[in-house]
Amino acid sequence: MHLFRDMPIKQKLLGIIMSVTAAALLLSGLGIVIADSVLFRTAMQRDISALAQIVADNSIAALAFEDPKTATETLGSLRARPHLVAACIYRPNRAIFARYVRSGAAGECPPVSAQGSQEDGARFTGAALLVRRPIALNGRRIGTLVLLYDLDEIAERARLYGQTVLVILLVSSLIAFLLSSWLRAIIAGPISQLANATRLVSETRDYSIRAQKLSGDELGALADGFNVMLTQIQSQDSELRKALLAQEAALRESQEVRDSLRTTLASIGDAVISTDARGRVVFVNSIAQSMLRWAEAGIVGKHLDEVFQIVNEFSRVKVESPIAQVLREGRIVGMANHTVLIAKDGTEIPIDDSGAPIRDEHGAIQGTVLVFRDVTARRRADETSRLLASIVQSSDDAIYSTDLAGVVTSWNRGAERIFGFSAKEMIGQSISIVYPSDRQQELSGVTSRIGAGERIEHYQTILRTQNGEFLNVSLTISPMQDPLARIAGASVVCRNITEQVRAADRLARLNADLQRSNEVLALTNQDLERFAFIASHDLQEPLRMITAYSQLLIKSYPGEFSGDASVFVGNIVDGTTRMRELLSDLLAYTEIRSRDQQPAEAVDLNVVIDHVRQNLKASMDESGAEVTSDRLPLLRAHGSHFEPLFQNLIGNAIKYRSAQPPRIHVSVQEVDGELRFAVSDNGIGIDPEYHQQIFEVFRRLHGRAIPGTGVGLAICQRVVERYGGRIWVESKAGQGSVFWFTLPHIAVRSAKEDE
Amino acid sequence: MNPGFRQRPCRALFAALLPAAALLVTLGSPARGDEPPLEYQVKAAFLLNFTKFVQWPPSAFADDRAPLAICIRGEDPFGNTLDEIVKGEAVNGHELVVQRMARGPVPKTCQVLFVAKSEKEVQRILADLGPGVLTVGEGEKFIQDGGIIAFVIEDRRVRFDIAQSAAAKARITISSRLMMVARSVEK
Repeated sequence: MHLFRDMPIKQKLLGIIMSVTAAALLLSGLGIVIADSVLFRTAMQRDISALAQIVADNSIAALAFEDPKTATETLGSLRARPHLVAACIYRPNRAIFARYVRSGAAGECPPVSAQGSQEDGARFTGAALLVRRPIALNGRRIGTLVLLYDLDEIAERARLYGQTVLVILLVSSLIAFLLSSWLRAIIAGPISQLANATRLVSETRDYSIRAQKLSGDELGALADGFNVMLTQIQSQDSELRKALLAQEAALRESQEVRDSLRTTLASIGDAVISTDARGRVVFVNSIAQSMLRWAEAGIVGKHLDEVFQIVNEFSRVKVESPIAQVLREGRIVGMANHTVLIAKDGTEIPIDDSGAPIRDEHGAIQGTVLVFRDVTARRRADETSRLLASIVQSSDDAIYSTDLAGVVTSWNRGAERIFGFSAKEMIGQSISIVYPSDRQQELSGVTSRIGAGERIEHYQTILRTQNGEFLNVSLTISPMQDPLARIAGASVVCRNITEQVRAADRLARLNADLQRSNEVLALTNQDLERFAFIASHDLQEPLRMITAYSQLLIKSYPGEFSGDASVFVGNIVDGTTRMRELLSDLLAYTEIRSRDQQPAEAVDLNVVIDHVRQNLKASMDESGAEVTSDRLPLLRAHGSHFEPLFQNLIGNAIKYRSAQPPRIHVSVQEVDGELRFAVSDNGIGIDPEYHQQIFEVFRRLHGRAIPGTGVGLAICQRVVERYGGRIWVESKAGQGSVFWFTLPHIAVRSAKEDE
Repeated sequence: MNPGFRQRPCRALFAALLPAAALLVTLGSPARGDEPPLEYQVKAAFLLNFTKFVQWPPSAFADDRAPLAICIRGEDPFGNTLDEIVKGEAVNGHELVVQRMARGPVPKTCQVLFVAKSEKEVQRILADLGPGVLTVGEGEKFIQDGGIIAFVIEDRRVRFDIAQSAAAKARITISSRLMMVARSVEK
């Protein structure tokens, strides 16, 4: 029912039409069927009774003349009535005289209970109509006819009617459905149009919308009424709207004023707190919140003294809030200097503040407003400028400034010291008085560069002091800007470098002298070396000749020399042999420099040490020496240099051994990016007195007792220095020696990597 | 009353309601006592019934109240049966009566003439008849002799043939119902 109630009128109409149609049809169909079945029964009864009459009449002769065949034929003509189940003719003694039974029917002639006219006539039994009729001849009953007629016809008719009603119902429903669209247009059309207008009005609030009058009936009157109502609403609405707009505008205006005031206060650069007349906070802007380290919600409503605590910066005594004073005295109060605000978290902020009363239009105090600002930056700027001033004042350098016209605007003590002019004398004067007359042009050049914004650093020139002295100075000149960022002058830092310039001059002169003497020395040295090389090389030839002939002499005249002669010749041979060794060493010594042109190669020092061991095998075996070494690195160098180096050092260690068998160890370590080698022994040691001399050519500490040319350590030194290294010895007499040398930057890989 | 006919105490009813058993006529079976054979009891009933399916011309009766006479010519085979059957019967207000005659002309008052087997000159008898007499005889030859209705035995049952031309000649109208149950109808 709810469903139907909420349906649109269109569907309601359709539903009503359809249901009324259906109900009418069903009822009339039912009535027709019932009436028909009643009427039909009567008609059928009459019809069958008439039929019985005819059959009975036609059977009289057959009965009268004992002719059942003819009677059966007569009954057989009843086949034309398909609903006739059976027809029977009985003799007066209730025996069957003739009968007809519908083919296929199970029916039989009903037994005739008793003879009597009370059973005659038609009656309905169950599913059949039983008609019983006497057969009389001249008023005498000569037999009885019984017809059994089934009622299928009634059911058939009912079914037929039912189907007809159903078909009509369907057709009429269709017609009703089609009609309903037309009906909708008549009834639902204006209603939904009105409903649409209503909905449109309520949705858009456009009261100028009017419903269309589509008919002159009640719906048309409804539309008219609706339109009249809308007209009234429209006029009321427009008035209301006007009033509302005016009110809104006024409200907005006051809101804007309030907002702009609040925005002004909120965005003002200073902290602002306003209170009511009792000193309770009613407004606090964001800067005040951040300075107090307190959110707005925590502040508003509190008394100002709870949130705004100030002390004197020096005495630390609590200062009365200016608001109290304002409320008491009703006037604007500025705060004393050196006030420090203590924020919620204990932070101290130096502030300036002032308080003022807020008065209503009658002049009564409504509240106060407190304005304060963080003066930390200003304080710091003040301190910085004081510090800068003291730095400037105490600087040894002259620091001064000029305007663009060159007039001095500041002059520090350094300037007074250096130039002799006091600040009093200089400020207001042109700076040109410290420029020598031949450098005035320079001043104007500098001034124009500064005017263009350029900064000039370490500009060296000569300036004049008060007493006419000329000073070498280095100037750093920077443009100075006024508060509008325009170049207004120049600041100058002037350093007196007169002494430095003089010292530099002296040094340059000394260096030049040294250079010259070095060049002379080098030339001399080269000549000497060339000479030594040539000498040692060229001397070998005559020496070989002496040796050859001395030996030839001994071989040619064996045993012919007397004792002394034999000794002399032996001395000659010894002398030439030593001479040859000496020359060979000298040649090797000089050659170390001469092989510079050859390309470097990889030199494995471990292999070099092995060679040295083989070379010295005889003396090692003889002395029982033991030579050990660390794992040594691979070098990029000339191989021919390192064999003499190690052979001389190790050979010396064996040669100058103590009573014990020599123990010699070659070690290496990396110190400060260079390789430091050590060849240590347990030999006789060297007195520190000779530690320098032993590296000189031909310098020998021992006489003939220990053979040697005096060139070995010189070769070592030369090899090491050839690679940029140093060689030295650490030793004491009788305590063994350690020969150190360094080789920078030539290791291909370190000994450790090699492992 | 015929005491031999014990099964049917009411002779009047017997004529109209012939028992089925009576239809089976045993020809030539000897009659018991003075009672005629079953065949003639049936024929008697038929005679009566014929009167109800036949219309005589008005000239056949002297007046409306004149009796309808069934005349028997020759030897009466019915005994008392016919008399008992027609007793009290009337057709269209004409009381039924039975008249017997041995010879001589048939009187004008006869509306039904039964010609018994005993008669030899059937043709002559019939030729002498005036109109308005329903003639009933036995055997098919009776029709050939000019009779209207002839009893015949068929399947041991009593049937009859009708000669319509003879009926028309006698100005007698025979109901179609009667003709329907006749064995054959000669046109």
